[in-house]
Amino acid sequence: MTDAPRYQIEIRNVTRRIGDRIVLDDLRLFIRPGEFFSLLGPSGCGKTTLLRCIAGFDRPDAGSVWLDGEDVTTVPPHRRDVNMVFQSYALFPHLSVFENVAFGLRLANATDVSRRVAEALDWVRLSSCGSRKTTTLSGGEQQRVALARAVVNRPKALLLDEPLGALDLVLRHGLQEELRRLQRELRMTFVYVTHDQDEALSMSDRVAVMNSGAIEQIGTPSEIYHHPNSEFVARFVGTANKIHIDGRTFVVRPECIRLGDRPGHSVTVTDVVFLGSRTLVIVDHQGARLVVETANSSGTGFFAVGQKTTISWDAAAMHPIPGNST
Amino acid sequence: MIFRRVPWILLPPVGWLLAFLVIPVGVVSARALTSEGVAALTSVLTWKLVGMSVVVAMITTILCLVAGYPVAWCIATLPRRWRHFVLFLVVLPFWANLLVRTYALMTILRPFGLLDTWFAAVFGLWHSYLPFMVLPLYTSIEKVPVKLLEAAQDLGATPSQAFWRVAVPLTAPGIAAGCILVFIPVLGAFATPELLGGAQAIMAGSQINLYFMSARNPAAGAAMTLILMVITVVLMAAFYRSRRNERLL
Amino acid sequence: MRSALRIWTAFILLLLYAPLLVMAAFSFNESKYATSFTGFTLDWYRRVVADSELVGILWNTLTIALGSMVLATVLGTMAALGLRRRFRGRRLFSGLVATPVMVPDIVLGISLLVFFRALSVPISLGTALVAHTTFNMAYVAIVVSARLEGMDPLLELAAYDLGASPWQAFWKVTFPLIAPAVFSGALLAFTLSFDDFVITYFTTGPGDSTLPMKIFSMVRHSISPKINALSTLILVVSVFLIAASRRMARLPVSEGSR
Repeated sequence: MTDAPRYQIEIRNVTRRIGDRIVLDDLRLFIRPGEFFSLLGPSGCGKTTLLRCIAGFDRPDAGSVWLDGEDVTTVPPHRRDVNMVFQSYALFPHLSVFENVAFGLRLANATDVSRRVAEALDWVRLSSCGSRKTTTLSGGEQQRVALARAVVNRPKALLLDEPLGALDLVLRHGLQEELRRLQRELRMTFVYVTHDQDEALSMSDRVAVMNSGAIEQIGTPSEIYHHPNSEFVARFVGTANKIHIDGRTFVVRPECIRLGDRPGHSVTVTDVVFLGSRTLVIVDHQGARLVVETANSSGTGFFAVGQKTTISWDAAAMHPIPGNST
Repeated sequence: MIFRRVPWILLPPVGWLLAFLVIPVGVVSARALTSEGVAALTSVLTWKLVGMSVVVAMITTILCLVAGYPVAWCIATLPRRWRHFVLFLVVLPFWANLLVRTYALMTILRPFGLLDTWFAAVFGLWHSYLPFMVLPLYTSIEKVPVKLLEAAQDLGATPSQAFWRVAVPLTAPGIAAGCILVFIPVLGAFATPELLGGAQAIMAGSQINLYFMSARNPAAGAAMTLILMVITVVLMAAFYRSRRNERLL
Repeated sequence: MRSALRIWTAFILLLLYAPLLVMAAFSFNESKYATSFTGFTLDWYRRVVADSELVGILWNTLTIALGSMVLATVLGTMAALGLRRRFRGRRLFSGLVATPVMVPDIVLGISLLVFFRALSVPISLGTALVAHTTFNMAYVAIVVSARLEGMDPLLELAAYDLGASPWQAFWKVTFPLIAPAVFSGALLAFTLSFDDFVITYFTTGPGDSTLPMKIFSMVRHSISPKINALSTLILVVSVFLIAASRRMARLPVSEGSR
């Protein structure tokens, strides 16, 4: 382990243009071995292009991609030791589940194909489905096959491009847990592309928030959520209330605002949204719209639209937004 | 996305087409522009025959459209499992040997004394190219949602108004494709008018054959071939220009 | 309204098929004249089979059909694969590949005739094979393109990603998926070549006749139940081949439907 490079994947000043649009703008990113790393951002921010550059489907116009301490910028995808899980699964329709998973092993002339395929199908809990046609599987099962097909080759890193994007909510939550478990068991580096902030926060060791071809912030989910370094990050990750005090801008999360029980800023309730375990109270504070979240167990009481009340928060809940505080 | 240059895999097919399509067409064009060719290009007989062929092609196209539109509409409204079968029935004769079909028509027309007439030639061409009209018409009619016609009638249109104001504009791409697919081959038809029309119905194709095979005037034949080619290219270009995203086939 | 449409469609189908059925019926007629049906016989078929000249002509026809089928399938599939890529001039190239389908047969036939004469190449079975390959290639390219368009482009990327070289990815993923269309295109090419008259007429020599050419010269002189029998046989073969080709093109990639 001592000789192992510090970083599994290094993105060194990568720029990628498509037409006259700059999709990746001089981007730098370093991913550690065994890390569950998420690339989070709105669609069109360049996260998928970045993943394709790591896989080798896209070639940077400038900069380099390093894998395990080696420059792989010009190495074609089939000679890169990374595997991809596609959002649309991309399972081979003419092959059985078993043969789909065995595909990479057979190409590499592996000796113990059937044992390793069985093992991989076991990881994704599809042991009994080996002989089935992929077209007879449900969406969730297909995604597990895609996952098994990628991890069975024991790549240096697994690249996941919104792998759960096409699945319904219940299935998503189940597979999120399984992905996390699999990643821990295999100690494999996962690079996970998503536009879903909940997914990124709940699964990742570290998250990079991307916006228009550049990284806005990198950090642990907690750092990203509690110490956003820009208004974009604050708004993209969770709900952000922007507050101006003495010419500086702060962000306060909805759950950090207290309603009514002590003196503070006076506000008017404009809407109340019941969400089951919690209630969102939308208030108007000198023309600014603020969202306050109250847990329904805390007995904060009932708020009616038009009601006048006060809001307050601890100083620690105020996160200054540096730089572009206008 | 990585490939900007012409992929290498296209080189053999494109090379073949250059050698056996583009260059031959170039040679014919060059032949047509020699002095004998130009004489043919400016002769009254040439243009009379081309004009005749254009008229026959237009009549055939219109007959195919009139006969084919109801057929295509009917197929599109059939129950799903019948649709492909009936469509197959309509298209099947086209794939059967042209000579065999023409011969079959001869056996039918001869007892009625209709062989070697313009009627026989046009009927034969209509018979041969009707599937070319029905196929694109069906494809575009199938895409017209029945709801749109219902909506038109709900808004006060009579069935015939709904047809002319909604169905026809929406199926215009199919009508255009069908007309082009019938018009072009009929314009250059050779075997059908030769066998069914006889000496009465001589079209451009028969005359080209005559120039090459018996009259030994290849330059004049090349000139008429060039005229057919130019008409084809102009029609194709007009079609592709008017609907960039539609495909003819 | 609906029943009127159906009656019209039935009438058109009758017009399309009646001549063919009548022709086939008279191939079994004892009488030499197609005016009335005098009795059933297979005699005309016996005469077709016994005709040694026809056997030679059939051989010519099959040589051209098989040869051009193989060449056109390879070239047409390559064209379809190449035209999937985005590159400068793609529209021009795809137009070029589809051109033989669009130009009237006589234009292609005459162009090749003039071209071969200009090169002093004597027209023969070989020149006809070249001509047939040129138009068949376009049909194969169209059939295979349609299949490729329905194929998920990510499947090839997935194969590369799992370690397949472009060559391996083609044979392990792309080809198995387009194979039904390739075979369907090949059958189609065979049938078109087998049936072609106009282009063959201009590009083959007088000693190298094919079946459609033979029928052409026979029917110019007379109508005989023997021609009916020969035509019926050709018709049955063509219909069988086309039905097989279409069945194959629609073959799903697996038993499951997507």
